[in-house]
Amino acid sequence: MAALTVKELASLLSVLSEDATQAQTFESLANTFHHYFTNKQDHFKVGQALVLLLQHRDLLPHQTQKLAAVFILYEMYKTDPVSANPFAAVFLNLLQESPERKESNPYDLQSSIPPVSAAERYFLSNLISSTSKELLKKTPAQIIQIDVTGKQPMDISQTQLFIVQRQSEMPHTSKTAMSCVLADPETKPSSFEQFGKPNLINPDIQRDVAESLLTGNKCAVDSTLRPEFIRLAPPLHIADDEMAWMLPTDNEFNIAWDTTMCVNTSTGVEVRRLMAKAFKGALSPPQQQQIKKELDKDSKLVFNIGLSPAKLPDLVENNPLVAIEVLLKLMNSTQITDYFQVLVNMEMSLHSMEVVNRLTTQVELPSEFIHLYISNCITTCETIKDRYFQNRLVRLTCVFLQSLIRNRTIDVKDIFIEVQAFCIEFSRIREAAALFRLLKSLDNEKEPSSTGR
Amino acid sequence: MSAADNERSDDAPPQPPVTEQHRELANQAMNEFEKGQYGSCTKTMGYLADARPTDVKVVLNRSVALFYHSQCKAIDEFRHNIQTVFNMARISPDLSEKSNLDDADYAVVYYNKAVVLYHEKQHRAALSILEKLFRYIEPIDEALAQKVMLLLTELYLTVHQPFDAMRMVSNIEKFLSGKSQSSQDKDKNDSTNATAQEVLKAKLNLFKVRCNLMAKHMKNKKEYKALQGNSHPVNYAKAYYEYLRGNLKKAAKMLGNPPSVQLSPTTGECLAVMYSTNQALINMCLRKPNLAICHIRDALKHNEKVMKDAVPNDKARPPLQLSYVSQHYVLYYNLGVLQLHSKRPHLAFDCFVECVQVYHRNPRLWLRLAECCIMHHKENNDVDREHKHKLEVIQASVGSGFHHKLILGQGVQKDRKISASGGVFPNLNLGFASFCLKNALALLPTDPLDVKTPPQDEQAESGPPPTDPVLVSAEPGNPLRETEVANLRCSILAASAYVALCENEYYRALAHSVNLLRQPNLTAAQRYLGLMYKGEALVILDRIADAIDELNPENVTDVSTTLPESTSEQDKDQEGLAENREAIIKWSPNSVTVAKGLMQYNLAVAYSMRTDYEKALKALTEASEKVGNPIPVQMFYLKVYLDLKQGNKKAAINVINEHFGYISKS
Repeated sequence: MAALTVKELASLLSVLSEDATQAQTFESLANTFHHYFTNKQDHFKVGQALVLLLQHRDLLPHQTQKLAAVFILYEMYKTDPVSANPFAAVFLNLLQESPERKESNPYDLQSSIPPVSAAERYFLSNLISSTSKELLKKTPAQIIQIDVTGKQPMDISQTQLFIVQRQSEMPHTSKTAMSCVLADPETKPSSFEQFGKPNLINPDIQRDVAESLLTGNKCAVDSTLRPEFIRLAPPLHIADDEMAWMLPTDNEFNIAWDTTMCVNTSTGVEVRRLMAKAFKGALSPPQQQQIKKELDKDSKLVFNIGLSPAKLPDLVENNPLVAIEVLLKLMNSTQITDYFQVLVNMEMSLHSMEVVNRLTTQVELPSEFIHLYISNCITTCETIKDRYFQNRLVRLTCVFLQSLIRNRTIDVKDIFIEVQAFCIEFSRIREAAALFRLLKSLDNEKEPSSTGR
Repeated sequence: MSAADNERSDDAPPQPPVTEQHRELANQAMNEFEKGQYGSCTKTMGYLADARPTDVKVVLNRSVALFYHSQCKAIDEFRHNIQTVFNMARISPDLSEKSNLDDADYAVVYYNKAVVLYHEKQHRAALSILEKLFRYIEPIDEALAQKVMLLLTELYLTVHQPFDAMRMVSNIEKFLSGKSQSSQDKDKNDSTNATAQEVLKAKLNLFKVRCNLMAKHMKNKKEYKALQGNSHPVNYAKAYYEYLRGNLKKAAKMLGNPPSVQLSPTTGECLAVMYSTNQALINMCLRKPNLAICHIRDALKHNEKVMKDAVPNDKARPPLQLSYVSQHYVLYYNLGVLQLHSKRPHLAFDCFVECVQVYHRNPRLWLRLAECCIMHHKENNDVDREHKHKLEVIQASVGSGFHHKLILGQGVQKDRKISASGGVFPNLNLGFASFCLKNALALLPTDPLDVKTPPQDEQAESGPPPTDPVLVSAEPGNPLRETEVANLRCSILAASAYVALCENEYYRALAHSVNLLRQPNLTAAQRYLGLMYKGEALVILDRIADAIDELNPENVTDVSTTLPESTSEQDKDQEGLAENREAIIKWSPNSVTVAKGLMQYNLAVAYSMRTDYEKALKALTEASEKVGNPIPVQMFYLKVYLDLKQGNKKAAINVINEHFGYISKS
């Protein structure tokens, strides 16, 4: 916050000088003040200075000076409601009767402002309620001499209420600061003239003190003392193994030569060619043999023959034997699940069933896959419209299931209900009846063992 | 043209058939390449390239030959040639999702690109290519597939993903067992193949040990015991194992004698740098930070020397393996940690600021930066007791005689105004600390306390698939485990609350301290601090009654900074891990009595804020008896304040006379 300049302070002190406050009316004091301080932005710092001056009786020793200072505090903000005056607390304080004031608020910042007389209080209450301008035509000296006996001070309880309300809205912390300037009058004389007169006012020293407190860069009027927390800094974070340990490596990673350059491409190309044919139509047995031979020779070749899961159905339909070979080669690869996925979902046919059947005899297929495939077969049989194809498919399915059960590829228990229902539905077909009998016999085989216990 | 070629034409230009002559040239070139005759190999490839200008593999191998012919120095040209190959084959240079690697024809190109990136320390870029390539690993030629997987493992370890590395090692093992089965059929087990297998097995074992050490799985001693040989990689891994177990002397012994300062031409590593660094770590654990700093300085010196050796001048081109040999940032990180623990926040800050450009994903690094700022702001908690503050209680004496005035100081925290720096620029101030802490917090995974657990039945259906423990990256160090993250969170929150208070951001301070206090694994000191910070924030937010509840000195039973025992599942694997739970710098207050006294003082402040001066004075008096001498200066201020507020100017002047050597003339 900016402090007053030396010149501003001199102007302010001249307004508040003993002579001026004795002789001039409040109105003319106000005029002089406004003459010096035209800028409203300066008013707050003037107010701060005034409060500090009021707090120290040696700096404004005369009653008229104090009264004038209080008046200027009002005058600066007279266009606003009194409760909005930043120095309203000063008025509130002064308006209290002295004994009452001591008790109710003995510690307040403003308490060090010396109490004022009844006449002054009368003036102040009039000022705040701004009922009459008459009193402003008097001088401070005249006001002090008014006989107030019998005159009631104006009722300002409403204004007081506003001020108190405003104060209570402020957080406690904003009300705790106190001025850092502490009056410490020396009782021991420091010079000859002061001898025996401890309260002697020395105008030169007075002016110096006011200047050093109110002007300059880091002047005391800006400093406040308030209770301060002890704020402990946190300890450093504890982390073991935070710093990086360094480990040498013995791996050499170098640019690699492509060893497949100009090699292998011929067989690859030939197999690819055959495979491309295989997707479109049946291959001759020698051609099928050739593919099998090349695939056996190079275990990586299967990934290089242009096969993808999407092409599998074509291969199955046209060349089931080749499809079986290829799938067997792919069995250990991660892609196999994709191929299974396609196989399960492709349209059911003799060939697809043959492929699955052959696979079950040669490798262990995931049981979910087989179950899914069986369910798919049954559903297809049930939904197909063409009676002839239906009979054909049901027969195929039954034979397929019998083969699965006989080879113990699947556990009958897992599909018993589903297959039984299937057999009953198509009981008119001989193979279905046979399958049903097979199921029954297996069921009976189990019965004695389970009841025997 | 055959059908197959027609089909291929949509992704590559048609190629003339390979003639016998071409094949001979190709074989000759490969032989020359394998013998290291790169000059003649380049020539042979030149002929072949003339004969088959559109053959992508020929173009690639020719550029490989040229690259080796340049002693691996023509990196830019090679990179350019690889790009040409990508363009010719019309395949995506980064193996993007769209590209389908129909066959493994181009695996070598991708591998080579990844190798270049690896040596240029662009580990994540290399990883991204190889991870995609790995999806098509099956069709790839065995020798190359093995190289790809080994490089993947190394890369996973370099970016501190031990679990991924571990998975890759088991992939290689699976791959090997599959191969040995198929080779049994052929029955051609020559001895060279067998030794190569042994070497590979030893390599994989070392990988496993490194994975375990990184994940701090100390229980798996099997692999550790299987470490064989006397090579540096093995010895340093063994030393690290002992270091983590707290056998520091043994660890130092394992490191052996200081090696000579030179670069390995094949890996670009300098053993001397590693040796000095590891010695520094050991000495830090022995609580000798200054000796550790000397070691790190040695390491930095070595590092600079080998950098000069690799690239003696601006024009010299180093071979690929030596293109980025500097360990500068790792060393600087280590040095920063050491400097901070040697109470040199300035120097530590400089180190960390440099590191954060590289390791900006490390939350702990951001916390360390903030800690530098905090330590610079307040060196330790005993500075409040220093004599210099006492000298400031009386700022000036003005006037004389009747007009004599004393001007009191404004307290210890003189600069209550916020610095307008904005805090984004790396300066040693609290504004920047606040920025760092925000980053640190943002980099942590969601607080488990804020994660809603899914409804029980969902979990019961089929237990959640076993996942790797969550690790938070803390490069260049090892990734953080669950408990480490939890501890880090507490430290960040405590620092955040402190900085927010200093920055006058009381709502944030309150939020951070509340968050801190709900954490389950606080240290006693952090719980105490949480209460202190919360109390202060509450008072300033005008909730004094709440603050007085928080600032109850009876709640303080412990203020140790020792980390609590961890109870997490994840840590059960870590038996035998010597954990440093103790702070290296002693924190004050370190006794419960003093801590209680300080809290009671803050309680006195809270009372005086609501003009409860009697209680405040009582609390202050009790506090001053507990805090020990010299008394923090704030207490003198409060005494003077309370005396003055109570109209007891004489007492105030007496305090001043007694403690501040000022003789009043009254």
